[in-house]
Amino acid sequence: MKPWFSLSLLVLSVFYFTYGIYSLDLLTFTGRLGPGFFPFVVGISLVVLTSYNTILAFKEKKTVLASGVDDNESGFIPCSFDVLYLVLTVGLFILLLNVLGGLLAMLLFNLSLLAVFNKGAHLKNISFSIGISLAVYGLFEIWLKAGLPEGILGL
Amino acid sequence: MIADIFSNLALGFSVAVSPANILFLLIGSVVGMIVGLFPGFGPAAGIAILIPMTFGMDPTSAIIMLAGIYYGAMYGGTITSILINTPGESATVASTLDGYPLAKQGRAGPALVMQAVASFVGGTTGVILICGLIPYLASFAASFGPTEYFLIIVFGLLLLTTVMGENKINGIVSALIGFAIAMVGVDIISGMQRFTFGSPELIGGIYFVPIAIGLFGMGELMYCIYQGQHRLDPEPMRIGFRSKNFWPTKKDFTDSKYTFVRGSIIGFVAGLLPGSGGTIGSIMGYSVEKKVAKDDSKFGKGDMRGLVAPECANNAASSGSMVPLLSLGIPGSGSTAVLLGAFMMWGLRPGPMMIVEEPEFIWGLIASMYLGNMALILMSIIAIPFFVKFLDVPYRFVVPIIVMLCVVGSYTLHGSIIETWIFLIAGLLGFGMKLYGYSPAALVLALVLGSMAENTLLQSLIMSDGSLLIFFQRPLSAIMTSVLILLIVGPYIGRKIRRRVSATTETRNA
Repeated sequence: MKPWFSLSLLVLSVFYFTYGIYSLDLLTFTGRLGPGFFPFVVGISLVVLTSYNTILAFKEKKTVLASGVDDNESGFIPCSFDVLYLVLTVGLFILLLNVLGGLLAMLLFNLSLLAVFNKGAHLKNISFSIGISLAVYGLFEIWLKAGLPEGILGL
Repeated sequence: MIADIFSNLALGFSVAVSPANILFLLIGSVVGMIVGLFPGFGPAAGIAILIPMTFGMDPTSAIIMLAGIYYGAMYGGTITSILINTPGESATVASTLDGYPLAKQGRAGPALVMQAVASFVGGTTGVILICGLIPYLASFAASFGPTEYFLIIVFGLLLLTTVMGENKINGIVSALIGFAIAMVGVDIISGMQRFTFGSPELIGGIYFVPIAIGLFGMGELMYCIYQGQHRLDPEPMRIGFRSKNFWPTKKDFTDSKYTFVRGSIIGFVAGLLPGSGGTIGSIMGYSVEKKVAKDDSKFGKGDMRGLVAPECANNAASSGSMVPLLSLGIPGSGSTAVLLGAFMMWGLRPGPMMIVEEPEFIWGLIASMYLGNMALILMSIIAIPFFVKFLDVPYRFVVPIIVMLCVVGSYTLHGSIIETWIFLIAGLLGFGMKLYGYSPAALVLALVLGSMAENTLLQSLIMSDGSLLIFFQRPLSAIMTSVLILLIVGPYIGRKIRRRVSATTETRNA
């Protein structure tokens, strides 16, 4: 995955540099340094360094593939699915925040996350979800008066 | 000078010793200790997540609480280093070397008490040194021009990326990403919109808090899950301070009497350097102690000095790193960068002028650090059984709590759903950065200092009509530029010289 992460950074850097160079002026009309100067320096440095990193990462991957060394030889098995599931549930939580309101969205998030992270313990998961959602709601909405979204049910 | 320090401290205590400030100081210290307990979850994450909760508070109380989290995490981080050989915080890595062997020998109690005493000595020494140093550094910094400020920012970032990071290029890329994000919004000199893509939400720029919460909170959390921490069931631990074996012996104290002094001074100096901080300080403290010891054979096998030295150092470093933050307005680490962001949120701009204009705030904060260290040593000893109970909570139950605080905190900053999405994107970025050796701390530091770096660079170049010679014209800037060049080129020259020397030796041997 490392080469793809490096490549993503390179693509974003090229986009940042290109957008900056086309939308911002390097110099003002009086000949002084303009709003595009610093982004230009940052952008070009990013493009050069992320290109170097990407080439290095792909070379490394090629060497590893050629040597035939198994990544999982150390016995470490990454929990990639759990990370993906967490990201999806957080994304859903944010999407539902305005629709269902703060309290219900939190409750749903807790239940769906614990259904996978703490399988089987339904009663424990439900009581924990209700308790912790109420606590966070109380902290932000009642004590701090931070203004959580109310949603369609007005909660 | 001494009279000035006492009068400043008296002013500070008059501010800090109010019921509200004491309450928030205690909350911050307890939260800091809990944050320090959880491996992979540092003070930067704790401060960032708690910032949204401080909105309705008085700025002094809020900063006192957030600073309490910062140095409280140093106390808490060592508990896991000693008990389960897992540092709760990067600055407590060196404490595992002798802390865990001590626990295995059945001396967990004495080790925990000694770490609390060492943390207190280091933290308090650091605060005393701050009192002496800040006014002088601030008056010295008052003569700085934009060139010197720009060089300090670059110096700090370079130290953070080259000294702390394993991969220097990745560190520099991280800092550049921070600068790139800082450019979003309206350019204050020309009034032109940059990288806003016509969105009114982006005109004010990308706020640093969701980014910090995402990088340090969500990113770290995802990394811990990736490593399977949520699948582990903790082994219940019981420690009682009523047992005789809980307390250290007289010999423990006499053996370490000079270690307290050495560790504290080394740590404080390390904390002063931008980009260095507690991690480097504690490792240096440990190495020096091992070198000066007459008999170093017990180091790594459970020598009390090997625990006292890094503990004094990391706490003194956390005080030391407040010096550049308060006197220059330049943070030296991810945690102090988040603190600087919090300062700015309340319209406070640390630096030489702040010491003159807001003495109540500065000295109130310093006085609160004295009080915080006193509260923390009491909590560390009396409440160790209570804090150890937190380690019994399975990580899978900690995950939803942290995520909810992150999401709700990001949303409630401005009631903006876009900022909440920015938090999630920053979390994904933070996860990737952590996984592939980039530096989220450098990113946040550059993000917070981005506009200052740009303005000072442009001012310098405008003053010199575009000539780079301005970086060599004043003696101070010439010295700083030379050090910077040395820092960049030095390692390459050193490597070449070493290669040449080894090649010559091989030829001679042949």
